Amino acid sequence: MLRNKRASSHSLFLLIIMVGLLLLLPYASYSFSKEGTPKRLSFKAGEAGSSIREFESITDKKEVLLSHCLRTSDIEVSESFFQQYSCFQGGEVVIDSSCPFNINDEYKPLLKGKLDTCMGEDVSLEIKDDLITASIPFSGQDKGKQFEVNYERSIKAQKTPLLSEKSIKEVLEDLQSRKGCLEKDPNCLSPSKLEGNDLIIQAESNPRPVVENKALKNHTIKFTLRYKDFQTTPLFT
Amino acid sequence: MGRRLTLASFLDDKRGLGGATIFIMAILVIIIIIVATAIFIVQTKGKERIIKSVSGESADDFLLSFLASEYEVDGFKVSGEELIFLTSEGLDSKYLKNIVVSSMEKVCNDGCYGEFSTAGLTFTVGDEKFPKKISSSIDLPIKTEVTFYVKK
Repeated sequence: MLRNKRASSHSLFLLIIMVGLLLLLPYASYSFSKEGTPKRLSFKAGEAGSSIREFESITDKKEVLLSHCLRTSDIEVSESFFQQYSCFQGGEVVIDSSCPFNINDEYKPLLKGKLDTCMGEDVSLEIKDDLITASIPFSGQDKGKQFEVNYERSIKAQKTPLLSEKSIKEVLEDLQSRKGCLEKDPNCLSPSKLEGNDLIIQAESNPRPVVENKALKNHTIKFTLRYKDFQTTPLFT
Repeated sequence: MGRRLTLASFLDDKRGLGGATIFIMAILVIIIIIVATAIFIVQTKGKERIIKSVSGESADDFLLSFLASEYEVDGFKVSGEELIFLTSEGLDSKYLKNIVVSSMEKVCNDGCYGEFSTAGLTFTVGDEKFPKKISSSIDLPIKTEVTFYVKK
């Protein structure tokens, strides 16, 4: 009888410990979260740590600046791009065999020029599909009595271009795939319309917010594409 | 004499509460593992950018986090950096003020005095300037600066 009672009290004792652990766990996690991760604390300790922190601060700020410069450079280039685009004639972008709407080839150097000026240094730029990636390598070195820090990082910023070659080409591909309907109905590709053998397409850039009367509104750049000899010309992609 | 508390004696305890206790404890162990895993995942996610209070190292973190984060303004999603420029272009400063003040209140929590200056505007939180000054600034080229006065 006595043994049975003791065994039960042992089990109860263990049960209480488990419940206690369950209650203790959230508190322990809370304390842990206040202190930061052990990894972060250890690599930031001492003089070497403050040197790393300094490099981190410099590169983080550069990343924000790069992101800002990419955004503003994209706005500046997109607003005036068609006035200097080689396929722009008489207020329209003319698409034919010599101009298959590869705007990125001309957009990229203009954007890079603005970006380099804004950053005050050479920026690597890549436009792939619908994404611009700007990057700058950063390396810093710091030596103390008992440490040496070699800090290297690639600073990056990305965004979708306001004038997207990919989006416009998708519109052209869609029109091309449906052009068979013109035999029955000349207005079947509306709002695009035929003008002789050419197809006139109204296109626009990706939107961005602008300020009007102290509030925000969407702003897009509208432009006209003239697809020369649309019915007989295959798609230039 | 009473038995020593060992795993063997515990598992041998098939009378009284023993059998049921083993079952309950097994459930509790599973719950502890699940809770611990869930808490770990929640707390480590985005750990680098969560600033819960102001310390000597976090004025930079606060400023950078504010500039890089996205906010909903007037139905548009804009970053802190973009919001500063839109404000300098004439957007009602109430949007910037609301976001800045609420961000600073989160980290200050009555434990500091905060001052945020940009585009000719200054927003503050807290009543009392504490002795220790911590600040961070960036030129975008609009100069943006945050200063916290915290207890020593």
